[in-house]
Amino acid sequence: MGLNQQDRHKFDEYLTSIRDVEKRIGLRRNWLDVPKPAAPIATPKNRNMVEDLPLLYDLIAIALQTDSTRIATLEIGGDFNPRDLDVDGDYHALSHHGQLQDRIEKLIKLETYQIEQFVRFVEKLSSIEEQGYSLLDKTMVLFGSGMGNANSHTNTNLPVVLAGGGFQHGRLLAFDRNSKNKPPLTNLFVSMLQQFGMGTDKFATSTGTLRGFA
Amino acid sequence: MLRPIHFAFGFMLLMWLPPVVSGQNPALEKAQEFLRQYCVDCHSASDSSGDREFETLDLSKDHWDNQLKLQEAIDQLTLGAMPPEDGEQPDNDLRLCAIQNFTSLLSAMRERTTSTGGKTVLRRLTRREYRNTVRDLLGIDTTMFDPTIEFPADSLSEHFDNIGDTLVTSGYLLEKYLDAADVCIEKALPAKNPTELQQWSFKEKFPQQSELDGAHKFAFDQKFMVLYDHPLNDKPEGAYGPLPKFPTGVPADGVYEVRVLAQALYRDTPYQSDTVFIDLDEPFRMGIRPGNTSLKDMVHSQPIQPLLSETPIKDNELAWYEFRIPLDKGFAPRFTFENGMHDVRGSYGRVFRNHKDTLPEHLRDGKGIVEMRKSVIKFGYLPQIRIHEIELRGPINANAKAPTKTFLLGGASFDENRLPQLLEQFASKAYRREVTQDELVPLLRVYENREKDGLSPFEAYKDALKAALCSPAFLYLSPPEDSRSEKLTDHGVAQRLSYFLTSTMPDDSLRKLAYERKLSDVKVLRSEAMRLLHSKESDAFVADFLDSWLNLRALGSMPPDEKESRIYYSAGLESEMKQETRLFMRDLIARNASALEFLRADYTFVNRDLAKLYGVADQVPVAEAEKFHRVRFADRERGGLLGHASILTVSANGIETSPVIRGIWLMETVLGTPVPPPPDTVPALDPDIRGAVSIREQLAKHRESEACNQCHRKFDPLGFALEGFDPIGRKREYYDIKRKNKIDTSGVLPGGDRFSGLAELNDVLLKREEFFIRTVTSRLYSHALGRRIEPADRSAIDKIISQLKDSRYPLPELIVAIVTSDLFQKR
Repeated sequence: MGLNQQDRHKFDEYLTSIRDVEKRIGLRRNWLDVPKPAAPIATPKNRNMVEDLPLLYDLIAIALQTDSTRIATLEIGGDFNPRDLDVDGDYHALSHHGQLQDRIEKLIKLETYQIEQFVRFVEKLSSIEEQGYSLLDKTMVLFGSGMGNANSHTNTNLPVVLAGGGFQHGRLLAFDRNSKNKPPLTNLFVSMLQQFGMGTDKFATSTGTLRGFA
Repeated sequence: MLRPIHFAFGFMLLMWLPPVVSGQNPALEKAQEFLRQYCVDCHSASDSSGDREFETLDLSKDHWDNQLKLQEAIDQLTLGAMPPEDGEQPDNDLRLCAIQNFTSLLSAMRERTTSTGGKTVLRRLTRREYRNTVRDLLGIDTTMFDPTIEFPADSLSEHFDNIGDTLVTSGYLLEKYLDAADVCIEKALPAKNPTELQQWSFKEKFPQQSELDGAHKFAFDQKFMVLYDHPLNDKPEGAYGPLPKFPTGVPADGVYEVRVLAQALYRDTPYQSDTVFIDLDEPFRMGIRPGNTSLKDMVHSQPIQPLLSETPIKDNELAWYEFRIPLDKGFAPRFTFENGMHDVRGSYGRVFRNHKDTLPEHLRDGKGIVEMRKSVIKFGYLPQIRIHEIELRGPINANAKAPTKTFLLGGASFDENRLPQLLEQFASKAYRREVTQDELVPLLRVYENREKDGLSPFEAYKDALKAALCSPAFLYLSPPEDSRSEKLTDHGVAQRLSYFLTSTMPDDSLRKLAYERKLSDVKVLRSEAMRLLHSKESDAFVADFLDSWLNLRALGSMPPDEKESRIYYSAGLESEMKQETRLFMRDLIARNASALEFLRADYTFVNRDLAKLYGVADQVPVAEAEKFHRVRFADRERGGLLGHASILTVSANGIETSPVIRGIWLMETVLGTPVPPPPDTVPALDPDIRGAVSIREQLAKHRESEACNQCHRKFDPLGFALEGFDPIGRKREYYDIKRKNKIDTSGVLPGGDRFSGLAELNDVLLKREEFFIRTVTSRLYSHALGRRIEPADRSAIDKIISQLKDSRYPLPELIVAIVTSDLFQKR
């Protein structure tokens, strides 16, 4: 095949992917003769996001505890139907509250529920102890939203919570929001990646790690 | 002979393009000068008081750090935050001029750093192309089979899904390719596929879903299957009628005959429209959708459940209805009420609240949904489709796929003696070109190794075919043989043409011409392009191109409010909206009509649901409610693309409209003049619908800042013209139900053009017809070439525009001109 430089870059991507698959197959081989353990909870029923949320958090906790995975992602998306919380309305519509007080109150009610479940998850991780450490000490848990203000669709000033992971928590690190030197959120992600063991010093618009945190 | 034309052409270019090539760039000089005069004092290399350092900043370099610094400078100037109060101040004109200057430098930098040098980067098949290609290569029916369902979504570039450098390959995707190759080959050549005709019959007992079963036992001992909700309900009851006594579905892929004894009941229900949410004007329509029995849950929606057939059901009268539908092994038919109720679950309570008198007296103080459901189902009048008996027979034409099967097997059955030849045939079709001996050897080796492992020759052959489907030659669109050659081979042209106009591999006729090396002949290429464009296969082109150009893939990603826009769900408007826009473009192609019709048409294509949304229900007969009809509007306030509900929905966010977002959508999609993103630090508009301030007032306030006004004056007026349409494209005159806040759709563009509403907006846009045609042409080019269109491509686009100006831009000619242009035949 006739490849120029940009094409060769794409082809490399393909070859790297093959290597990746080979490695995965190698890893799987280790488990070929290991019998599957019995699941400690019953198969969760797929009901609705309100009822499923605690179950999903439980599943993640178990998956981490049994080292079935090192990474888990959970999205609370548009299928979070507040009617299951006896809140009349539609999550997406409520987030565009247009300053109407009753919509804002409903939004508070349903997001409070989401935070409560998150807290329950973090507490669960911290109650699981192994070799003198809690699972939370060994797990970085990031919770947040891609929007600072959904009503105006802004993606600045994002609400983000990071728990666990062996970071120095419980202190206030103040950054001057008017300084042009203020660290972008992506610096936190670089800190997290490094904590995870990735030898990277850059993520998107980062300018370094989040100083004083790791 | 061509020289004079070229010369004149070059001259036009000089007038239009910013002089980026010359050694001295005045914009750049001015920008550096501005920085020197107003910024470097503090932002110097030696002084640390300014965080950013501009002294050594060389704006002729494009790298990322420079782009970041430039963006920050623009932000600070826009806010008026810099230079600081105690520094030397530029006057307002100079400041605006600097912002504009910096912005254009920054866009030029961004363009250059994302440039692929006018070449398509080696690109893999997109998900949709993969699906279509295996369908045609292997002759498999993809109605309810999607081997790509677990592939990651393709990342988009300018809304296009087929841009080479953006299409990433990963270990995860490759693993999915391995799985997909496996299921595709097994589907095409199953180990066993029983073909004897079988028959099943269902009557007397129809268990449905747990919520309903108690009530149905109580009311009629489960003797009927009863359908209540339409299939898109959030918590449906009786939306999908399952056959629990058919737990593993049909035994083989094929066409099946379904007979259903059914009746429609209570279209004359006494319940008011605030109790049951359904349109009682139309006959009830029963549909059949497939259900995958291995997913177990047959009573809720499934990822793949196309509507296989639908028919109106007679009121009260019991009658037999017959269908012929395809079903894959393991699937069972599920019965649906396509225009059924919305939220039957909530209606039990509403019947108790609003129509208590229709219930037997001793039940009137029923409490809880279980009791209320029982009472309403037994004694009430819920609109429904009631099924008494179902018969299923098949498969009836098991040999439909014979030609492809013969091609794969080399005859009626597999002949291992012809193995090398069979593999070569298959690989050259799969790779869309001649295969070399070097490429065949590994496939043969797979066969030999698998046979040594103890597989039968047939199973070993299937594994070799699977290996071919994982080869980069199959997964990537092949580049020219010679890396120095700019020109595509005949096979390369055939492949580009077929993926452009049919979203799949070349068909037999195109392959034959490529083998005969005839595609470099412009006449042949032209006639092939016309042939494909006027064939049914180009439906895929129309759908995929519109998805990319108009961003219609995003429909549904911001769901409309269920209360405000119930019809969006109950009528399944999302797919119907897309269908309207596709039929519109299809019609332009069929009639050889001008691309300007997109803006000036006074007609469209709608079914009854959309006709109701548009207020022209009288033009669509009730008896043909689900068919699309051409309708004409009395005025142009709904005419053309910009009146399509698809566009009006995708340019809103489901909940509210914004003149800013619709205006920017118009700038990008119609005029082809994208708007730079707003500075990070500018406060965003915070919608307020309490009624104190209108969006017009809010935006007027925003525009008081001269820096904001620079851009907003260009797109706000365009967006205001569409404010007469709500988030799903219904006409409206007021923002609120109380009819206090009247909508003003007027606007003035920077050039002085005044307009109000859609018809006048379209006139203003038509005055800029070349901008529109250039946008359409450039987007078609992107779709054809699989790359972003760059400033250097401008001459090719303008050439086509000037060729077609006199004939008023017939759309098929525009498409064919792209195919026969030099750019199309270059890598």
